[in-house]
Amino acid sequence: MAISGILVHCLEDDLEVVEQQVSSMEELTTYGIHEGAYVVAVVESPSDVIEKVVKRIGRLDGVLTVYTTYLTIEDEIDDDGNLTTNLSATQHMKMEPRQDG
Amino acid sequence: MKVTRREVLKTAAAASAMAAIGGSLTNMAKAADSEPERWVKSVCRFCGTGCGVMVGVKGGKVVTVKGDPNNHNVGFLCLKGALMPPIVYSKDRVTKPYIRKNGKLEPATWDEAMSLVTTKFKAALKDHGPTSIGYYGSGQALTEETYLASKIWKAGLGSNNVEGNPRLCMASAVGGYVTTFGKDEPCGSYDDIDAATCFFIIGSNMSECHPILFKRVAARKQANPNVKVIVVDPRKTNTARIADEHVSFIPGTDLAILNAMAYVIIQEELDNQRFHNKYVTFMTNDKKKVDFDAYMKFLEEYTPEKVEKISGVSADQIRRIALMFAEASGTTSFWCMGLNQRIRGVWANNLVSNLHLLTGQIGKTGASPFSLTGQPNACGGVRDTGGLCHLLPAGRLIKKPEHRAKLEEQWGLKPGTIAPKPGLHTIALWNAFSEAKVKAMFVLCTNPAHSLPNVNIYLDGMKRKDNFMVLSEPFMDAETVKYCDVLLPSAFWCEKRGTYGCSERRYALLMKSVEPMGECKPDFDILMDFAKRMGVDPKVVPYKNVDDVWNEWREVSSVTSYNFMGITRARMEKESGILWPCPTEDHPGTKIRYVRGQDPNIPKDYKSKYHFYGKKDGRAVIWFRPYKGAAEEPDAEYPMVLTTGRVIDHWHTGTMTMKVPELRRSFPKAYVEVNVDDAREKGIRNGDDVLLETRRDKMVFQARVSDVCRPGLVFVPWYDANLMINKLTLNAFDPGSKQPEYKICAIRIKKA
Repeated sequence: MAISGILVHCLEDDLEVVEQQVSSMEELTTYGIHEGAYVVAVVESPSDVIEKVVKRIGRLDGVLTVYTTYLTIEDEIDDDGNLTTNLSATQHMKMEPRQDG
Repeated sequence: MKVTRREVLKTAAAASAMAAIGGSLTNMAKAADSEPERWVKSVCRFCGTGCGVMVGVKGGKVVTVKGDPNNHNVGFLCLKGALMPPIVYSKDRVTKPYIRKNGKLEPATWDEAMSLVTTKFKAALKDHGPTSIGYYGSGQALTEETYLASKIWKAGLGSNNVEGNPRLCMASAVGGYVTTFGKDEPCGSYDDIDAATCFFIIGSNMSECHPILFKRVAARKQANPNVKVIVVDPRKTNTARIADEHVSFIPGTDLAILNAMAYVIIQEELDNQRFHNKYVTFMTNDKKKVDFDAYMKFLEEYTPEKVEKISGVSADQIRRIALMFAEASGTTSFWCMGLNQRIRGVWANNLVSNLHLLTGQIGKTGASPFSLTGQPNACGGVRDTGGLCHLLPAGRLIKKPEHRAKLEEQWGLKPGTIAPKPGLHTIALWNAFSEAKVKAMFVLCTNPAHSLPNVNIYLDGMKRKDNFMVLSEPFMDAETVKYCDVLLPSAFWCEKRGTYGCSERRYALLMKSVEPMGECKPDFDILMDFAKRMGVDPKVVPYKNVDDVWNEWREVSSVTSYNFMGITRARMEKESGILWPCPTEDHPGTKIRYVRGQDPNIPKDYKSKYHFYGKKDGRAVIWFRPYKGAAEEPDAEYPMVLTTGRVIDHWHTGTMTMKVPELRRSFPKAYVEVNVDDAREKGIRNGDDVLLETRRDKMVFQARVSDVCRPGLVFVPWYDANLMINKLTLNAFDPGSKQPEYKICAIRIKKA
C-alpha cells in the first residue's frame, strides 16, 4: 500500500462540496479546506491504482487539478527488499487496458 | 497511545501537503521531518520546470519522494514526479554492458565493451577523419556530462559533431532569443507568474506538460479574478479551461495572428513609444535597419480582417486579445513546442518578443517573454554549456574565431585546436549516419530511434552494418536499444551527482541518494573512461569528479555574461537552486535580465534603465517576420493536419513513465484525437480503429472523439513505442534553428 499526500485545487464555490465528496471516498482521508482553494488529503491505495484515484478526484465538478506533494512506497517493499510494484514495461504490455476510460 | 508506522507515514504525507500551501501542524511537521531514514535534495527528472524534490532513502533504497518546500515549486509535484521510485527499480534497468553479436545483445564486461567502442571510434578517426564521428546527447544528461562530452569531442578529438535532443525541442527558442536579444535564455523568472495580470499562452499545453507552473498561473488567476488568461492553441486543451480567451486557429497561421496583434496595438496607440524609441531596433527580414514607420507599413498586410481570412480567428477576437496583452499592467507570455517545432519556429519566437518590446512589457516583474522547456536540463546542460554543433560554452559560437581563441586560452589548448567549421546539426548528423558517412556515434541518455521525426529512414540507417552506435542508457526497453551495437548501463537520476538547469535559468544540484544498480556507472565515469581510452590529452580532461567539471564551467563562464562564479558547490548543497548570472558568492542570483540594478552585467551607474547588451548597440530587435505556412500544408490528397505532443501522464518516449503501472494504465496506448464534426463526417465513433496515413507511413490508432481538436486537425501523443507516430511525422526543419516541424504535417484519416 502506497501513501500519498495530495492537494485538490478547487474552484472557490465548489470547495465544500468537493471536500465532502473526497472525504467520502474509501481511499481518502481529508485534512480540511485551506487557503480558500485547496482540500488537503492523503490517499492510501496500492500504487498501481493511485493514478485512478487521482483521476477520479480530478473529474469531480469544481476541481481544477490535483497535485502530489509526497509519495511513499515503503509498504510495497517485499521481504527481499524488492518493490512489489516493480513491473516491467513488457509485463505492462500484457495487461488489459483499463476499460473505464 | 502507540502510533502505528502507517499513521506516521500518513501524517508525514499530510504534513507535506500542508507545508506546500504554507500551513503547518506541529505534530505533522515533526512526522514529516523524521521520515524516512534520510532526505536527499534533488530535482525532478521530468520536464523543464525543474521542481525541487526531496528523495527519501531507507535501507539503501529510494522509498519516498516529496516536493522540496524551499525550491520554486514550494513542495508541489505532479503525479509523474512523485512516482519516481518505482522507475528507479524497474526490472527493465540495464545493469550490465552488452555487445551485439549476430544480431543479439550479449552480456559483456565493461572492458570488452569499452575496448570495442574505442576500436570503432579510433578506426573511424583514422580512416575518415573527425567528421566521421558523432556525439548525440540529451537535455536529460547532467550539465557536467554534456560539458565533458562536448569538450572531449571539440577539444580532444577535433570533431564538432556534437548534438543532442534539445535540437528537437528548443533550438527555435534559442534562435529567437539570440536574434531578438543577442543572448539566449529567458530574461524573467517564475516569479513573474505571481505578478502578471495577463498571461499569453501560445503553443503550450502548460496544464499537461508543465503542470506545476500551470498551477501557479491558475492560483494567480484564482486569487485575482481580474487577471486575464489568453490561450492560443488549435486544441481546446485543459489549459484552455482557465482561459478568458481561447483562440483556436488554423494550424500554422499563428505568425499572422501575432503580427495582427502588433497591428492592433499600434492602431490603438497602446505601444510604448518611449520604450521602443530608446531600446529597440526595427529590422526587416533581410536584416536592414529601418524605422517605426516602416514597421507600421509592414503590418498593413496583417490587419485583423485580413488575418481572419488566413487564420480562421475573428477580427474581433484578435482585437480583444491584443488589447488584453497591451493594456495589462504586466503581461507574461509562455510558449513551448507549438512555436518551436516549426519550420518558422525562430520567427514565431521573434514575433512573441516583438509584442513585449512594442509594449514595453518586459524587464519588470510580471512582464516577460518566457519560453518553456521540455526537458529537465536542456537549458542547463545543452544550451548554456554549448552542447550543440555550432556552440561553445556560455553562448560562444564555433564560427567566430575570437570565441574559439578565447575558449582555447581558457582551456589551455594550442591555438587552432577547435575546428573552425560547425559540425552537423541533428537531422544532418542522423542523415549522415544513415548514409554511413558518420561511422561511429555515441548516444547518451536519449532515444533517437523513437524521437526523431520521419523516423523510418533513420531506423534503416541504424540497421546498417557499416556504421557503429554505442548507447548509454538506463532502460532496456528504450527503442534505440534494438539498434545499438554496444549498450552501456548508465546510472540513473538519484544514483549520481550533478546539476540541472531549468527553464528559468535556475541551477540546482542533484545529490547522489543511493548507489547505482548492478554494474551501472555515471555517464561522467563512462565519458572519462572513453576519453582516456581514445588517448585524449589528460590536460583536456583533468577531472577527478563532476565537481571539478562544475568548477571549470564556473571559471569558463565567468568572463561572459553568463557568469556562474557565485554558484559554488557549497551554495548548491545548501540552497535549492540559484538563477544565473551570479558573479559572486554573496550574489542572490538574477531574476530579471537586461535591467539596471537587477542584472549584474549592467553597471549600477549605467546611463539607461535597460541595456540589451547582447546587441552591440544595446537595443533589442523587433523583427519584420512575415507569415509563412507549414512545410507540408493540407491538400486534396492529404486534407487534414496531424499534430503530436505529450499527455500529462507520460513523458517523452515513455521509457520512464511507461514503467509506472498507474501511469501506463492511464494511457495504455497512443490514440488519435478526432473532432466530433470530422468523426461524424467519416463515420468514426469513439473507440473505433482509425487509419492515419501521411506521405511517410500509415498506422492504425483508436479514436477519441471530442471537441479538443478543431475540425481538420488530429492529435496523437508520441510516447508509445508500439505506435510510433514519428513514423508519420515530417523531418523538414527551420532553416535557422534546424529544429524539425513535428507540429504540422498533412494527413488523411479513415475508419479502419
